[in-house]
Amino acid sequence: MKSRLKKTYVKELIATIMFTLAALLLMIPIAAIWPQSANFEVLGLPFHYIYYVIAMLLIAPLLCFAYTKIMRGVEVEIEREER
Amino acid sequence: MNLTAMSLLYVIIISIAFIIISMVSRRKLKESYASYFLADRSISGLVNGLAGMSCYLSEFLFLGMTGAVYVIKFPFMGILYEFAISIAVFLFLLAPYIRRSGYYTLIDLFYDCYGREAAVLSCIVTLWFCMVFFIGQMKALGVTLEFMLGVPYGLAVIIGGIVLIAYTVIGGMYGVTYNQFIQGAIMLAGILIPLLYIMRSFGLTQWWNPITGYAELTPFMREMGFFEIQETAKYYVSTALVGLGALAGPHVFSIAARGRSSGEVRSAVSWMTFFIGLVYSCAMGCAFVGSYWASTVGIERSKADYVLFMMTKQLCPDEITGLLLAGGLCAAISTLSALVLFASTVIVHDLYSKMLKRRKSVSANLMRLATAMLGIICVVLALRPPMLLVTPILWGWELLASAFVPSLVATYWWKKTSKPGVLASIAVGAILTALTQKWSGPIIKVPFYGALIALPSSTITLIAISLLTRRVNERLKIDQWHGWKRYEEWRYNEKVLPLMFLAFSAMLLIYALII
Repeated sequence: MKSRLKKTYVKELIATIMFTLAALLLMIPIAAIWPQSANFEVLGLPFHYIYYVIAMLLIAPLLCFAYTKIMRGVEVEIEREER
Repeated sequence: MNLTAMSLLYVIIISIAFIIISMVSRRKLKESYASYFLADRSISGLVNGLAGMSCYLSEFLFLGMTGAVYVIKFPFMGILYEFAISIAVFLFLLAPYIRRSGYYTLIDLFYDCYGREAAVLSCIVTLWFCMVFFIGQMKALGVTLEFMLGVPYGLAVIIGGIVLIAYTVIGGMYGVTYNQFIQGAIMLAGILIPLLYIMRSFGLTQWWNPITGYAELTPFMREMGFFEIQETAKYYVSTALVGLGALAGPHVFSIAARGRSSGEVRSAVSWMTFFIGLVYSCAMGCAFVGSYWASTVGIERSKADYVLFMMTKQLCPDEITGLLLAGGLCAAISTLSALVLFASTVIVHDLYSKMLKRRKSVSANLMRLATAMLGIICVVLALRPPMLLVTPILWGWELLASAFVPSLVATYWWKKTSKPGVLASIAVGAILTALTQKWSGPIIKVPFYGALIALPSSTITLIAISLLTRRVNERLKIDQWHGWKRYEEWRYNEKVLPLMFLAFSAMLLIYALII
């Protein structure tokens, strides 16, 4: 019983840590890590510029919706384990 | 119909709509704190998401962003980008737990968990932040109305203040939230439609694509040095830390607290992230084409703040210019209404009722009176605003990040968090933020934002002191806040993870000071 509880708890912890790290990494612009990103273009715009658009419009919301789905599963498990 | 007449029509329609929505929402209001300040915690995911977006995004997106990008160019976009992504971090670490814990404000939370001292400290910092933000947003609201109606600035602030106070007092959080939902939609239209029209008038082949349709202008923008990376990695890391201040934003806390359930709050913040991304992307497009237009026309830098309005006025019909101005008006008023309501929650619920123990004498009328008084103070403060507000506002976010974020996250995730740890962390964060400010006279001379020193120091202080001292609240309700019914001492009681955070913060501090 306790091992199952621990498993669910660890799942919650790992999911949160991984998603938070991903978001924190995403927060640092690509230009800070790779200054040459300004030199080539994607969809007609410099990569360090389009990176902002893709990250804000696609990656961040996708991370949020994926995390919401995972945590819904974790909460169902928590409820089941506690019953 | 000329622009002033068109704008007057927009202002009248919008103001009447706000007040009607609040009057309709009033039917749901009950005589309780939860009803007036948090809409009975009944707001569903999508509505809260769009309302949250309009609450979070300020008038700066319409008034100042294009001008700031025209002057500072590409590096300025990084700051706004970091504020957009930080909302995802808010979802992962705080939003659903704020809802489950049931607290009204951060001060309310700190009072119950760490006592009066922590609450008083956080109250001072939060109210100071609200005041700076009030002045900034109210000034922006005044400037927009001045531009729309062609009236003097002072009169414009008073008109905006009357609308703001009326609909906030009448509808409480119900009125504010449903209005924010509508305001969010107007903001989206107010930035998207003018952008498309401007791109069309430039003769761009992909004018219908607001995300990358302006890419044809890239060669010209490269020539004028728009994309040059002048800043160092340290600049971007420090501004990312400033962006983390959003996690402790007073109005951001309210977005999570008013949700129907923790699941709905997760969904709301996910939608909010998407809407913020959408509006920011369009705002980046406006800033891009605005910088192009201003360079070709030769706009002076001193008039940079008005670039977007001037360009829209020259290139678009009056209906579309009016829509842009209406979007700006909504952006300012939505943030202001949330902050006014938040500040009155702090005064009536946290200070008067909880700390001074006057729960019985609080009535709905007192709540309304507090909101109205704060609205009036807001108007008075904005009548003679300081010239430059971006610096104190960024300083406010930095202060929130350094003083509150470590303690707030630890309160929801770590049972070992102790009262001395929290008090020391808030004090260290606030003091170091103040000491490292260039504009307030540097005591520690650093060539970048102080957050790179203040936030890691505050985190190290919190973890080290919490490990060395005993926590006051023996059975912190962290298990319940995460959905567990039974208390288990081993849960959320790690030692390795906080030590890893401590080591990482120490590395960040060394990076800030030495490298």
